[in-house]
This record gives sequence, C-alpha cells and structure tokens, in this order.
Amino acid sequence: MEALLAHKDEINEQLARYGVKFGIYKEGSYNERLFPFDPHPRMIGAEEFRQLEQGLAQRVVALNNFLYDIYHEKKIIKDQVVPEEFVYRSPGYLAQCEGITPPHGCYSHISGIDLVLGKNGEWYVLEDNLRIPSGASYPLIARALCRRCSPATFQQHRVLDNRDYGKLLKHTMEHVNTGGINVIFTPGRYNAAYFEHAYLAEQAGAVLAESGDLFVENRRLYCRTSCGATQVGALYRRVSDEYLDPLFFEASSLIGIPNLMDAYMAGNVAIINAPGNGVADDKGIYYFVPRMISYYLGEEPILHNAPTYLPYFPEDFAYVMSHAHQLVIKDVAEAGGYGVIFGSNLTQEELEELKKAITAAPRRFIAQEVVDFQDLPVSEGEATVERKADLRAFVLTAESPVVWPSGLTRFSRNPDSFVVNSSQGGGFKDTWILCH
Amino acid sequence: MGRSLDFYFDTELKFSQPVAEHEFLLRCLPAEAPEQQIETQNLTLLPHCAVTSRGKDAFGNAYCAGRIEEKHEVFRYTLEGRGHRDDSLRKKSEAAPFYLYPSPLTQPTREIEEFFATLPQKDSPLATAQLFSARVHQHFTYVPGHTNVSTSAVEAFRLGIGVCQDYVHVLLALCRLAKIPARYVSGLPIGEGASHAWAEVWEDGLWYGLDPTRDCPADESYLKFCVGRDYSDCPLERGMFTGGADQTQTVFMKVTVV
Repeated sequence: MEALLAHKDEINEQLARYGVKFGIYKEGSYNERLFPFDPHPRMIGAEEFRQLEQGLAQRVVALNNFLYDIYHEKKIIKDQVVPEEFVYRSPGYLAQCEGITPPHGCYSHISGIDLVLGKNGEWYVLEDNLRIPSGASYPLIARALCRRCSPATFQQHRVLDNRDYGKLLKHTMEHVNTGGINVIFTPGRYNAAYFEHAYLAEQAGAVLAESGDLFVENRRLYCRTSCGATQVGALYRRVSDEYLDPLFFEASSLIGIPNLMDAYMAGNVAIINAPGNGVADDKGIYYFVPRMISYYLGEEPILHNAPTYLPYFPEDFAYVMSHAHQLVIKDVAEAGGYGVIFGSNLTQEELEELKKAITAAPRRFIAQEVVDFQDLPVSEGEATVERKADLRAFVLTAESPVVWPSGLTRFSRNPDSFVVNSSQGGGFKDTWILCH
Repeated sequence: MGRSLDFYFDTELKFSQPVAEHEFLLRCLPAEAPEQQIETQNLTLLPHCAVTSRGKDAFGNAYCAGRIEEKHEVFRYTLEGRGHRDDSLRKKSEAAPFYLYPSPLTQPTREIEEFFATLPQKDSPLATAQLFSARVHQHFTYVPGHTNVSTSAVEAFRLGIGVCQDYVHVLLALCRLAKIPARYVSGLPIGEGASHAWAEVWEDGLWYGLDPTRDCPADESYLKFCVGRDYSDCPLERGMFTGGADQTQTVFMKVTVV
C-alpha cells in the first residue's frame, strides 16, 4: 500500500493529462476543474459486497417496474402507494413519454446509486441516479494507472478486477440494440464529462458521435461514419432529456437529434437510459422506493433509505417542524446538492424562514436525519486525515441487474462537510471489492 | 345533426438563403374522434419528400415527420379535406392525470394565484371554467407581436396583452388551480385567416371547448388538430435545418360549412 500511496502526484498528473475533469456551476458561472484522486482505496469485503449486490439489484428492479408503471397503467398511484402529485409535479416526469415502451421494457440500463456507510456498519441509500449517472470512468482509469504505477500492490491485495466495465456496458447496449451499431452520443468536447464519453466509447467498442453526426430518416437513426450512413440500434446518450430532440422537447436545443423520438417511438432505436427516468430519481419519490420494493416485488427492502420525512404527510410535517434544527432539508426541485440545507447551520431566523417555506409548499421538501457516516483516510500532504465519503455504485441492467465490482468513492475536502457531491468540490478514490 | 366542414390550411416558410438537411414535424392533421369524423384529407409538401412517417404522440395527436436532405428555399405544407363535426357523438373518457397539473408554460405564480383567489367558483367545473374564460377575456387586450410561442402564462398575464395562445395558457393555469382538468387545443375555426387555439375542460367524462379569445364556447364550428398540456406539447410545425437563414412564415386557412 505504501508503494501505491507514494505515486499519488504521479497518478494525478496522468489524470490531468487525460483530461479527467468535470464542470461545476457556481453562482451562475461555469468552471471546469480537475477531480483530485486520493490513492487510499475504499475497501469492501466479499461478503459485504454480496449483500450490497442483492440490495442494489432489488432496488433497480423495483425502480424499473415503477417507471414502466408510471408511463403505462399507473397502478401504484391507483393503489395509493405513491400520491399522484409527487409524480405529476416532478420535473423529471415527461408526459411526452406516456405509453412508450422502450426495447425489452428496460428504462434504467445504467443506474448510479449513491450510498453511505453508517458508523453502525449499515449502508444507506442517499440517492438514485437513473438519468445519466456519470463517474464510472474515474475509478476505471484510476485503477489502470494504479496498476501501472504499483503492480506489486495488486499482487499483495486480492482485488476483484474492475476493468471489465467496458464489456459490461457493451453487453448492456447489445441486449437492447434494435439492429445497428452502438453509439455514445456526447454533447461535444466542451462538455465537462467529454473525457468519460470518449473513454467509455473506446472501452465499449462504441462509436462516439455528436449531434451533427446523427440524423433520423424514415423513423430510423443513422450515424455518418467513414463507411457512410450506418443505422444505429442503441444510443447511449450523454445529453439530458430536455435537449434530446428539439422537435419533441426543448425547441431551442442545438445539441439534440431532431425526430429521434419518432425513431424511438417506432421501436427502431434503444435510448440508454430511457427518456423520462427523472420521475423515479426525484428526491420526493426517493421516500417511496422502499414501498415500491414491497409493492412490486413483494419483498422486504434489503437496503435502507436514510430516515426520511415528507412534510406533505401531516405526521411527518409535525416532526420536521419540531426537529428542523437537526435535520437535513432538501428542496426536491434542485439537483447537484445546491438545495441541501443543514438545519444545524442555520440561525434562529433562518430556521424560521425555512419553516415558513416548508409550511407554504410542503411537497417541495424532504427532510432527513443526518446519517453519521464513516470517515475514510485521505492523504493530505504528508499526513493522513479522515474525511466523509460516499459511494456511487453502478448497476448495469441487460437480462438482469449486475453490480459493477467497483464504484466511485467521493470524499469531502472540508473536514466538517457531509456533502460529498462532486459538484461541491472534493475528490475521489478507487473502490476495491476484495476477493475475501 | 352536426355540420360538415371543408378545410384548407396552407403554410409557407421562405428562407432568406438555401437550407438543407431539414428535419420537420407537423401536427396540423385533423384529429379523428367520434365527434370529428374526417371524410377526406390530403397533406401535400413542397419540396416533395419521398419518405415521411406518420405517428401518434403521447397526447394522442397524429403527426407527420420527415426530412428534406437537399437544398431548398421554400418549405410549404398544405392540408385540404372535409370533416363532420357532431358534439352529440362524443364518448366519455378519462382525462389523463397530467391535465390537472401545471405544465412548462402554465406554472402559476403569486400573481395568477391572487387573480384566481378573486374569482368565484360555480357549482360545476364547466360553469366555473366558463366564468374563468370570460374573466380572462376581460383581462387581455388582443394585440399580436408582443408575445411569442415561448411566452408563459404568467408573462402574458403581466403584460395583459397577447394572442389566443396567451389567453388559453392563463385560462389553463386557472382551471388547474381549481382542480379542473384542462388542455390546450390547436385547430381551425370557421372563417378565414390564421390557425387558432382554444381550451378544453373536462367534466364528467367529456371535454368541452372554450374559446377565451372570443369569449364563446368552442363548438362544432371548430376543427380540432391537436391537444397538449400547453402550446409546447403540440406546436403545428417544428423544424431544424442547416444553413443560417432567416425565415418568413405565411399562413392561410379557410373553413366553410358545406
């Protein structure tokens, strides 16, 4: 391990050279920055990982059932398990997707589930990401660099190989491919995650394309390649729903593919992940995921949510009002960790303001107990310090969900911060799944 | 009962310089429903494209999508046909639940909520909506050119001036605040000129047309094209092309009783 730690700077230099960065929106301006790598890996034992695998697979199956149900029969609403307005007021719900069945009924091909490990040794799910979860490329390339810098480390430690992510991704695309090539559709090289798009295309043997390379004719999607226009059967798009097709969604989008939705509705192309998934990873819907698992699968949830309250329900409202000072309050309309407020950081007046806002629009908020999660060691200069860290696990679904034996561990740079979302600063680690 | 309508709808887009790789989506096709039977319809496109596709969107609207690869300076689509409108043939159906909730262009804000609070509610959803429609009509002055297709209900409400689409958006926002399912309709009323928009509200299984711009019911003298939560769900035409051209649109329509 010492050998690996000694290569920290070298690995970070390599990452910078590869362009391993991402962008942050802060106060209206957009900045790109490097994503600092810390060589101390998060280690997860074989037995613990087996538990996680089962819990994550169960969760992803239930979320996929939910998406199918919401865009078709809506049984879960009719049976009053999920209140209607949580669905139809969710910014991720797309009425334009009503009645569409994606190839094989698969909505969330690539799911990024964010977890934290509590001090009690229990994993808690903090968030589901079913739209375009990014970040798999970071531990993937970091592992490759670590192996190169310190091969001995990987002889001493028996770690499951994570370098098959490309193969898994390829299989996921092949499974739903309706006939044609696999394409990764990127907004372009000015996108902060462009490195990831290019790297994953290379790893999965897919063609990397921008909107100008793709067009729809006669309800089929084509890609202009060196061999002429070639039909596309699976499109792993890294462009968000609203910009995907300027004729069906946001008209001003210049990065979309006009009439892509026409080809999709005709069943002539698989879109990975399906448009409309945002309704299932909504912060308000999160509360209902354990109930979804029982409702659709008739099983007890294996993984727990962080204890969550919905002020929408009167009993939860009363609790939130009396405990706001110790809760994390999240605005469900916002993503990226900006709408996250720690009650304990607020002055008395600010707390009263917040309570007023919750009273005025209870549906807009969820409240959670602060999970006291475990710290991980992080190198800082010569010293090793302890920082909060989470884990984004990647679940790839073809025939059935497969949990990638690795994941993105993000840590907070600020010793007092519980927010490890990468758009709030912070760095990342490799995640080792041990063979024993 | 009912009436037969002959319809003609013609739109010409002129580009200031040639465009190519023109991808388009048209929703100016008459809706087929028990109360609106289409006897004949013919859509012609210029330049003629070899392949277009017909589909149905999530709101049940028929659409025609296509692509014109080669350079052109004019894009023209013309619809002609005859239909029969008879509201006594309407069949009961459920309203999709999303018609009860705010949509991108009909998000209520405090101004609209305050306006809503001043309006009385009648004993039936339809009567309430009729009253809202009359009040929206009073609130607005019809002046084209101040709003555009992306103007939201609240922006138009603040201006107090606008066109049919703005009237409809405010009416939809008010109906949804009153928990009345309501939707946007595009189509052609009897007469000549440009295409029109009105609202439909749902009561006890049936949709009722209301025209807040003219302050009257939208009845059998209206030929329906498409519906949505607001304009952005069902524009009659959208297109994307390569070429930095300005475009000028000329629209003509005519609907006559046979």
